[in-house]
Amino acid sequence: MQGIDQKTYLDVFEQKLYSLRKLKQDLQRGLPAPKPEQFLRGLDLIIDAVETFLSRRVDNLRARFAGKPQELAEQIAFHAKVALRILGSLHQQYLPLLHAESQRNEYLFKPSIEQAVGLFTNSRFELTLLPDFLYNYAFDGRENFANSEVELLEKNSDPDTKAALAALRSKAALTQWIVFLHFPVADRDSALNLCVLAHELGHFVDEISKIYKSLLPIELDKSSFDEFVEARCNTPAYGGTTSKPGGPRLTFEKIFTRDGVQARCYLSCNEMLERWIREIIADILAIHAIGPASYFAFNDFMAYMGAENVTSSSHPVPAFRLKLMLDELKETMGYLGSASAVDKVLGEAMLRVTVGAASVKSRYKDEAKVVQITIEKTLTSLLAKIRPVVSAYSFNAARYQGTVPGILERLKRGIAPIEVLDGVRTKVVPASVVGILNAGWELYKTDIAGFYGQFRDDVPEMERFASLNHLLFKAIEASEVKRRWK
Amino acid sequence: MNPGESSQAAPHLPDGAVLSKGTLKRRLRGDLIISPILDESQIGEGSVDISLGTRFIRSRRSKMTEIDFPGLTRDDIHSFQESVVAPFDGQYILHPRGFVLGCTFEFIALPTDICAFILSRSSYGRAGLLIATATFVHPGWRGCLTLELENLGEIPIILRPLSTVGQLVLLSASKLPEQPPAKLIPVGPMFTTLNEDPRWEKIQALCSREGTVVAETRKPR
Repeated sequence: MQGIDQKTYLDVFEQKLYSLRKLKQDLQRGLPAPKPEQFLRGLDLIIDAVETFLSRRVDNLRARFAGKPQELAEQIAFHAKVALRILGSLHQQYLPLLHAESQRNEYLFKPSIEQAVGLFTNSRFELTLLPDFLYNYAFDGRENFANSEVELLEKNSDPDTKAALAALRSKAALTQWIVFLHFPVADRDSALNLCVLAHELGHFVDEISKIYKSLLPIELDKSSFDEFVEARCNTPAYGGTTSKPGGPRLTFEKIFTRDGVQARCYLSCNEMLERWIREIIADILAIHAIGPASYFAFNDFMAYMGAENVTSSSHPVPAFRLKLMLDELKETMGYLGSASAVDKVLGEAMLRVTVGAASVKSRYKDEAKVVQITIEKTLTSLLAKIRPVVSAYSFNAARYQGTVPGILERLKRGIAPIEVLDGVRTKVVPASVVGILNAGWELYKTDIAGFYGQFRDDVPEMERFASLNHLLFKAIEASEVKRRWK
Repeated sequence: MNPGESSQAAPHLPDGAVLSKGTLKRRLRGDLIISPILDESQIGEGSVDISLGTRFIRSRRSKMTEIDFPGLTRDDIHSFQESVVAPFDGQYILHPRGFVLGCTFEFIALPTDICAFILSRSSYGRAGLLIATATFVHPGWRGCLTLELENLGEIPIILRPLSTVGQLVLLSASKLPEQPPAKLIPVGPMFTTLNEDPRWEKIQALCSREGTVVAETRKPR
């Protein structure tokens, strides 16, 4: 008991229910069209369900515990807390997404993203792009997100309340994936930087296709794992303090036994392995989907983040990932085999990244060392299982050469590359979005001075750079319209 | 040849001659860019139909007491105007007496021997929508053209991106020696740049000689 009476809980619940419902309506009114209908219906479902749950439960409890005021108060307080927790999650997790969405600006590429994701899934989904002040790109996919909140209420319900909640769920009929793609608000006007979204979309494709499940479990590298367990067994517990001077040294092994330490190590290694594998899947899907543009954007993103060349519990080391992308471009997609401008840039990057990836090897420790070695030993078979998912759409070197030069030619002259001649040069067709993005990156990496040269001398360099991104956005938007025009 | 790659060898037309449909089609496969052409029927005798774009600049209430261009800064201008986007499957509602800047959906790049005029679609005018614009487009110009839209009627008008709002009449012009350098390559409507007009300084100098001050910088309060 926290010394808070049931009346306070119920009053607070009423007030918060009212204020959150109003806040949601206010935010909803501020949303630009088209509104995320499924997400909004999900929020309504949660709010209605919480209200139904608590009012019904309180009535039920009052009948059941009549004459037992102490027990009744405790029961009501417990149920009110369950309901308040759900409202808290609505406030903290979901409404900020609605708020962020009301700030959205120029999502001229959203139709193209939806089109691209549609190639990989027959599932219906609702995609929302969320500018974020955290400088990060992230995927946040929720399948039937509201239903899971309501199911939590059902667990704490009597049969009648359960039935009422189930009826609400059924009425809301939430069946779609709700996909949020977070991106740094500072990148909202940069078509080049936003190419990092391809990686996040890779996570979505992985999530719906369950690629990671087909790759896991993977047997951990025995030698490095044994070494890790041994080190962990001998690690002093509690910062190395002993029970008394001269007494036995307290280690993890002494506290948990060797089997216990091994089990914990096994668990932590596998958790890290799954996270890293999922990042690798997204990297590979992205590099196939949009080719060198994915590498260039990721490279710039790492630079802006000031990312150190070290591992984290969630991601493999940056140099390893960059090398993985370049290797994929070279070995599977046919890049780095010619004297073209883009191959030259990629070749120079390969030299740097190879050194970076090698330099970090000696610094892998603990779980990261086990996971890294495990991945390196199984990488060939991992990649062989990931590639088929995207191979039909792979933006390989042949596709690059077939699409990018024509687009690039226009872009160089300050023309939005919306349409180009088709492969046999007889018909004008909409330029491919992936071709547009790669042409943008090639121009930026190889001849940006030439592009800047067509502006008046008094135009600041960053405005000239902004012009490049504007042309790319325009081309992406208008080519998509042309593709859909009947 | 890629569209826009190089100038086509073309029979010489006198300056100011309206380009025929055949000439337009031929030049559109060469160095004249009006893109995207969603329907072939957009191309007519001497003109190409143009559509409304997805970007707008609308006015908003401001603490500025008046607009006086000399001394106005970019921040001042953004204090009474803001950019908005209506997706291509969306709409923009223009209320009676409302004013908004729109743009052509088509990206236009004129070769150095072609100039153009924009004409608004009279059917819209009859419904109360005025599409006024700086109608002349210089040879060598690149970008999406800004349109000034005003609802003079009594009921709101829904503006739908991609709807045909006017036509671009194209004429031959004396060829410029080279492509003029760009200040901007707009892909949406442009904010006013009248504050940058160098003539204000001359007017001010003239007035101060006469002992009169006509242009002060007025900041929002």
